[in-house]
Amino acid sequence: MNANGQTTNARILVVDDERQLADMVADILRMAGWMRVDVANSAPEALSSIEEALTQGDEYQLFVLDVMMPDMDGFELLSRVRSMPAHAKTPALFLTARDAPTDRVEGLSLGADDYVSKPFLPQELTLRIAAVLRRCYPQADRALSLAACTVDLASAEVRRTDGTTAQLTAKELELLEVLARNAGRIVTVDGICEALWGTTFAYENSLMAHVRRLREKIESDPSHPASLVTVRGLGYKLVTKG
Amino acid sequence: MNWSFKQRRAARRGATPPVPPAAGGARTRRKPVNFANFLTRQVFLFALVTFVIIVVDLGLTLMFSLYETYAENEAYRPNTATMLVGESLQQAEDGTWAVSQEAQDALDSLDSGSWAMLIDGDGEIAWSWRLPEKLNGTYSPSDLMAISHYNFIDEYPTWLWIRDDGSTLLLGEGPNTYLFYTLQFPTDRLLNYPLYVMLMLLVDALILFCMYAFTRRRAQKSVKPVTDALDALSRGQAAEVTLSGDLAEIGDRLTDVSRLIEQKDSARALWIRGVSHDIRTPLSLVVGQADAIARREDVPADVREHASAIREQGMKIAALVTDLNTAAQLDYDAKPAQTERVSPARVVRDACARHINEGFDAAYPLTCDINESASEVFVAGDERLLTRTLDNLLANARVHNPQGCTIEVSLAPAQANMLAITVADDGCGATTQQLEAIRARIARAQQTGTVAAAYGEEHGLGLVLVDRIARAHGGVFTFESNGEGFSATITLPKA
Repeated sequence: MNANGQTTNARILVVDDERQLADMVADILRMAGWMRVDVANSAPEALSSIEEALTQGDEYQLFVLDVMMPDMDGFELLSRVRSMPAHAKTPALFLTARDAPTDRVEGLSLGADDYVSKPFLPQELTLRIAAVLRRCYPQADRALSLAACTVDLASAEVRRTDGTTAQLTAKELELLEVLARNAGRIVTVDGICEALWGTTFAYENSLMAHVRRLREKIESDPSHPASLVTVRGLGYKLVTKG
Repeated sequence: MNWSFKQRRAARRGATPPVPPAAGGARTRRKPVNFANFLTRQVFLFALVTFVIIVVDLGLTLMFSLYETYAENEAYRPNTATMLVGESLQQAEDGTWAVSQEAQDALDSLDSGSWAMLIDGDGEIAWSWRLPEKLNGTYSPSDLMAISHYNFIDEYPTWLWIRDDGSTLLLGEGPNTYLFYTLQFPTDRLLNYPLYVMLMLLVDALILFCMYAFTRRRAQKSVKPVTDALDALSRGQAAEVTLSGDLAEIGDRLTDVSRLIEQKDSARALWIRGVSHDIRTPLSLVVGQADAIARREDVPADVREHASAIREQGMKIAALVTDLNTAAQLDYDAKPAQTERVSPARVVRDACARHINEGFDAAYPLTCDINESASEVFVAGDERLLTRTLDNLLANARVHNPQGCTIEVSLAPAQANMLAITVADDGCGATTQQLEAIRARIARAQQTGTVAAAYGEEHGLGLVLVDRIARAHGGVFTFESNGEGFSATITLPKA
C-alpha cells in the first residue's frame, strides 16, 4: 500500500519521446510507491515492450502516454494497444502539452481514462494515477475506515463501532466509492451526479436523499456528520481515518 | 464626408438601447455632421461652378465669332459687297455702267452662285452681273419693298442698296444659301432680360445639384457594402464583399485582404499555440524536478526552499502560457466562444472546489453562495473559457493578498434575464489609480479588439482576459474596490 491507500503492485508503462520527462515521470511514480515502472521513448519501443510483457505473462496495468510523439501519436498508440485483447480494458492516462478542449474530447472518446496537462505538479499526477487504478482495479480487500465504522467496499457491508452492521444499497455504495476515490477532497455535486447518473442535472434532490440515508448507516450522529461532510454550496467530502 | 450614411448611423445609435457592446470592441464613433452647414457649402459650390461654366461659355462664343470674322476677312461678305458695288457703280458717257476695281474685287471674292443687278427708277434692269436667267424682268417699287422686307427673291437671298440717283442695287447669293431672322422686342421688356437669364442660371444650378445629390446617393449605396466590410475588418471579423459593376474589383480586393488577414491571424494563432506547446514540456521537467528536490529530506532546508520557489515560478509561467493561449484563441479565432449549454453553477462550484482542494483555503477561506433560482440556469458559451474567468478572479484575489483574506463567491440572478457571478474578497483592495490603470487597459483591449493591446508596461492579462471572455459571451465585467477588499462581477445573459 502506498500513501494513496493502494497496492503498489501495478505495472506501469510511461511513454514520452522526451527522455528526461519520461524518466522524471517514472521517478515520480516510484517515489509515490509504484515500483514496477518502465519507460519507452517512442511508440514502436512501447509496442515492443508491451508485447514482451505479454509473453512474460506480466502485462502492464496502466499506460501513461504523451500525446505528441514523432512517429505515432499517443492517440494512435492507444488504439493499437486497445486492439490487443489483453489490453482492451487497460486504463491509460494522457500527458499533453495542449490544452484545447478538442484534445480532451479526442483522448477521452478513445477511452483514455484521464488527462493531465503539462506542466503538472507531481502530486497531481500521482493522485490522478491512483484514482484511475482504484477505479479500474477494484481490490478484493477494500476496507474503508471511517470515524464511526469500517466499510467493506467489496461486500458493501458497514461494521459500526457500536457492533451493529448495515448493508449499503448499490447507489449508496457507488456514492461512497466516488467520495472514497477523492478522500479528503471536495467532490462537487455536479461531479457526483455525473459519476452516479451520467448527467449533472436534476439529480440534486435524489443525491441529497442518498446522502441522508448513507449518513444514517455510516455516521454515529447523522445530523452532525464526521465522515461524509457537506461543503456548503459546493459538494461533499469524505474524511477517512488514518 | 458621407452625410446620409452618418445620419442613419446616428439614428440607429439613438434608437438602440445601451446594451453591452458586442464582442470585438467598441470602435471610435465618427462625429455627426451639421447638415445646414453641409447644404450651404454645397449650394455655394454649385453657384460657383455654374458661374464658371457661364463665363467659359461666353468666352468660347466670343472666341468662335472672332474666329469666324477673321476667317471671312479674305473675302467680302455680301452686305459689304452690296454697299461697295452700290456706291461705286457709275454711268459712263455712252450710258454703260461700270464698277470700281475695288467693287469688282469684292464681287469676284463672293461665292460662285452670287449675282448683282441695278434696277433703275423705272424698275428696269440697268446693269447686271451673273444674273440668273430666272431673275430677269421688271421690278416695281412694291417688289423692291418685299425684297427689302424678306431679303429674298424667291429662294435667292438678296441684299439691297438704294443709291442717291433713285436706282437700287440688288446683290444676291445662290438659292437657299442664307437664312435671315429678325428680333423684335418692346424696349421696356428688354430690361427684364438680365433677370430671366439669372433665373435660367438658377434653374440650371438646381438641376445640376439634383443630379449631383442623386449620383451621390447612388454612389453611397454602392459603396455601403465596402464601408460595411471595412467596419467588419476593423472589428477583426472576416469580410466578404460581392459587388457588381464598377466597384466589383474593389469588392474582390477587399475579400482578398480579409482572407489575407484571416490567414495571418490563423498563422499567428497557430504559432502561439505551438510556442506554448513547446514551452510546456520543458516546463514540466523544471517543475517536476524542482518539486522532487523540494520534497527530499536529505537536502538542506534552504535548497529545498529555493527548489519550491522554482516550482512556484514554473507554475506561474504555465499560467501565463495558458493566458497567452486563451488570448490568442479570443483574438484570432473566428468564433472564440464555442456555444454549448454551460451551467454557471457547475463552473462556479468546480472552481471553488479546486481552490479548496488545492489547499488554498487555509490562507484564503472561501464561501460559495449559489442562489437557488440561479442554480439550474444555463448560459450559452464555452465552459473552458468561463472556468478561466473564475480561476483568474480567484488567482487575482490570492496574488494581491499575500497576507491572506477571505473570499466570497456568489452566483445570483441579475436584472433583465442576466446572471451575476461575483468574486469578492476582504483583502487590501486596490487604489483608485490601480483601478483606473486596469480600466484603461481593458478599454485599450476593447477599442482595438485585441487582448494583445492591453499588454504594455503592466504585465499579466488576468482581468483583461476576464473582460474579454465576458464580452465574448455577450456579458459585462465590472469591478470595484472601496479601498478595503476587491469585488469583481461578471454578468452573463441566460441562455
